[in-house]
Amino acid sequence: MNTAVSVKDLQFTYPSYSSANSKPLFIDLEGVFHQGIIHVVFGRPESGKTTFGRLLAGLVPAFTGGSVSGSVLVDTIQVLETRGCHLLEHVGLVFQDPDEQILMAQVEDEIVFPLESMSLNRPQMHERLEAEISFWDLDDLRTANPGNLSGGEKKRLLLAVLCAINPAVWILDETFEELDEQWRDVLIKRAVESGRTVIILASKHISLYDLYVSTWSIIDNNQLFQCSRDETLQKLGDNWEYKKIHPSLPYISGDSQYQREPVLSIRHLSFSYPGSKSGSDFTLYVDNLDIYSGQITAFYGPNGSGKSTLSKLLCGLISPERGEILIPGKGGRLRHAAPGALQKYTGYLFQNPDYQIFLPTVKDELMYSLLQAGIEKSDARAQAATCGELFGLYNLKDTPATMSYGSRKRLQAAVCYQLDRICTIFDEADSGILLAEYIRIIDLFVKRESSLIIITHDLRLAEKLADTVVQFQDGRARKVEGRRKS
Amino acid sequence: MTSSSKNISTSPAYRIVSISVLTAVTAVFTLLIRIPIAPTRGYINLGDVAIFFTAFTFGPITALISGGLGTAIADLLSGYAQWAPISLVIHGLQGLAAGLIVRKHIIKFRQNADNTAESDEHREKGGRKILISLAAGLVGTIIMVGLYFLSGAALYGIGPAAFEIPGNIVQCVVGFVGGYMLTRAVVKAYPPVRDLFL
Amino acid sequence: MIESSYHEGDSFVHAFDPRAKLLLLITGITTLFLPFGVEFSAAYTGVFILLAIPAAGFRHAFSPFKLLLPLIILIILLTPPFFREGEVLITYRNWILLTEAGLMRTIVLIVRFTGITYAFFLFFASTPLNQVVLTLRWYGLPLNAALIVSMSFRFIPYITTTYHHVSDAHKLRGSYQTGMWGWSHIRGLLPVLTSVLIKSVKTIPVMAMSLESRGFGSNSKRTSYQRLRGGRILFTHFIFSVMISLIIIALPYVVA
Repeated sequence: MNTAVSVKDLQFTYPSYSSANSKPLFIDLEGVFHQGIIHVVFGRPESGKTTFGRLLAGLVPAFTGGSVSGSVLVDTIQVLETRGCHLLEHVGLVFQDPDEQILMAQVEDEIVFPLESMSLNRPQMHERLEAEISFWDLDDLRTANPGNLSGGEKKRLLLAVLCAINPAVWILDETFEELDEQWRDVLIKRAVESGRTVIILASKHISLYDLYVSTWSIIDNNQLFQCSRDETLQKLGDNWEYKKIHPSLPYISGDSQYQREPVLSIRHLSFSYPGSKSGSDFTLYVDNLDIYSGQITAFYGPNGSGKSTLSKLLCGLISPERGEILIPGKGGRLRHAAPGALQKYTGYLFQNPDYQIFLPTVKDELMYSLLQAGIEKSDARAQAATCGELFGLYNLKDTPATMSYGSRKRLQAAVCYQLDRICTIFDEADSGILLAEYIRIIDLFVKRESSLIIITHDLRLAEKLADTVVQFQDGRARKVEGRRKS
Repeated sequence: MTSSSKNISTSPAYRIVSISVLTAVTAVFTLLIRIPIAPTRGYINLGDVAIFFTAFTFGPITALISGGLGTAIADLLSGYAQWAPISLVIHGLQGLAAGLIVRKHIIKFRQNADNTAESDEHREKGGRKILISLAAGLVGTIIMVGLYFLSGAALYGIGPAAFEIPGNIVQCVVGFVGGYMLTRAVVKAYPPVRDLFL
Repeated sequence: MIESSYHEGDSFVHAFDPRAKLLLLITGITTLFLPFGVEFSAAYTGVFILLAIPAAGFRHAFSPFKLLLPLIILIILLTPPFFREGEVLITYRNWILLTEAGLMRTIVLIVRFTGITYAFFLFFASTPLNQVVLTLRWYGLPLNAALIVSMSFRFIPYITTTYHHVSDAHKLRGSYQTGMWGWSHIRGLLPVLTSVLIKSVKTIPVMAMSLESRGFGSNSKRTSYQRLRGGRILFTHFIFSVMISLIIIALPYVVA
């Protein structure tokens, strides 16, 4: 079998903007990928799998800075000495976040743009465009602005672009994550039929890989290990043994001595969004739902099923059309809560930690709300240091915006923690960070007897962690009784 | 060891994308964040904040294109299409002038920062930096207010055009002060921005 | 919130070639500035307003007036004081409020600005934005400039969403409150705008990677897929545009 990609002695280090020098991401990384088959490369969050994909595509370090050495050979091209634009027909990459890859204001233009770079003539472009538009079922969206598409539609658009270019090596960065079952199937079959070299970068294993993947590898400890399926999965670790990672957790949520009171009561709540061009109006309706103190409630369901809308209602970011949200007033009696009151009652951990970062150092970020609340500067400083330590933020002089994703996520959680809200919502906080980190953060909130709502795509996670699972489907919420074993 | 960190901002793809993103930022600041004041154009907006920010961080050329195009697109989308060509020129020149005035200083400052690490000299120059920024703000304001007056006078007479002057001055001064403060905040909170000036 | 000014339709204004339409737009506006009698400007403006009915539909055809109204009031209030000549029409005690010259000037300015507004409205109401870009390309706009315009339109919804998320995040964090006005409003916005700008600046290198990986920057010649229809239709529309242009410029002289 011919070699499609070979990597030798690869070293890579990102540039550092803090006082400490940054650690190398790859040390003597080696790997070989054969032509015409499907490879999967696993990596836990922050192991560098996205960077690995971008290195193969000639985009790193050109656009990120950093120092690199070694060799990356695609076919006969030295990638590290080649500009990304010359690799168009050799390596094609589908980014993890489609919002950071889509460039054009119209679906058709997005597909055609790289074909224009390839100097194809109009009939050739037309043929490829039409073939991919119909294959990926984008016919109704031809003239739509890609910014207004759903997550799955954006992924399909980017796959259509990839297939229209049809490069020799396909790199799919977590592409299967955002697709539903049906399209996962379509994609993997297309990948097999194409006869191209396909490298799937993934953080979680799905059963589909067992059927189609030829080689297994994992990026771990700055290196790439190419081994058997079982060895790879063992290295990836069974994330689900969270008791091993954090044994204290079950005691807290399972404590039956604790008297539970509702902290948020939802009564006949409804909210609707005006329909988009393609669909009808979306209406969320929740008849009766209580969130209890000291408990973990999981909101589980597919994208667009109403989880986020309900969360926004609970935080007072939007006002309900009908129905109301009650919170305990004086003497514990439930009373109506206006959006303004809810904004100070419910905390919300946005999925993206960058939405709230604006200060130069971790210390400033941690002290901000304390100073706003009128706490003395020296006290605030001490509290910030304690809180930083609690969340594993030891260097308070670091610049948040240049820290790693995991650290930014912990900082965001720490800032939220300091607000000391009665109830806190975690919006898909489990994506992009290690499960152990996620559970440690949850644990800190639970220890303080905050009520927690976790939004997740992951039913297993929901069932394992939560006392109550609320399932969402098409704007309806269905409560599933507590599945957690005490 | 191949090392590349300083030349990112000169790659053509990077430049095109940065101009487009800042054009969109300018358009969004102009469209979204409005404070009603002058009746002729209806509002003061924070478009100028984005323009001065661009001029101080990304330099004159980026400010010329994104300042002009961003405000022109905003005019187009809000139904003031007749203003689009005029905004394109005026706000473009405003960004260009502000960027050119601070350019020499910023490039010199960056060279110094490269050669000598944190020295007291820099702090002494802090006062001069404010003065140079103020000059940029002043020239930007004069260009914007003056050219809007001239084009207003040509389009609908001296009276209404003169009536707009105070509103435009307020918008531009707010734009300068806001743009300056944001530049400081962003440079502190995200130091890599320093390397992007061209 | 972000809506294009384009109104979908199949009127003859829509069907007219955008390159020829742009030519007419420019001559139309130029004519309004030429020293003809006000009756000609008024007639041309009237034609623009009438054309807006098929172009934008009856319901939307008069919407530009809503935006025009404040300015028209300003022109009425602020133009006459600058004109003292001619027959005095209105006085209040000893004050001359309106003279004939002032009245004429006021009418000229109102007619002119309405005409300009409608000329632009017509063009953008009947031409989709990608056609506007193609038209400008045809007139010599460089490829990179066209690319910047297209990408800006793609980023506007993205940055709008970012702005909304960021202000929500800051609201819940207590670092941004609504309901303030003036300077304190802007000060309150600072944390929000800082986050928006950091987020935007941080996406630039990633987006640049995407553009580079789409083959932008290589030396091979780019082809283009989208293009405006050429051939006989373009030719006839251009001839028509030139003729109309000549007529509207020549007409005042002929009548005189």
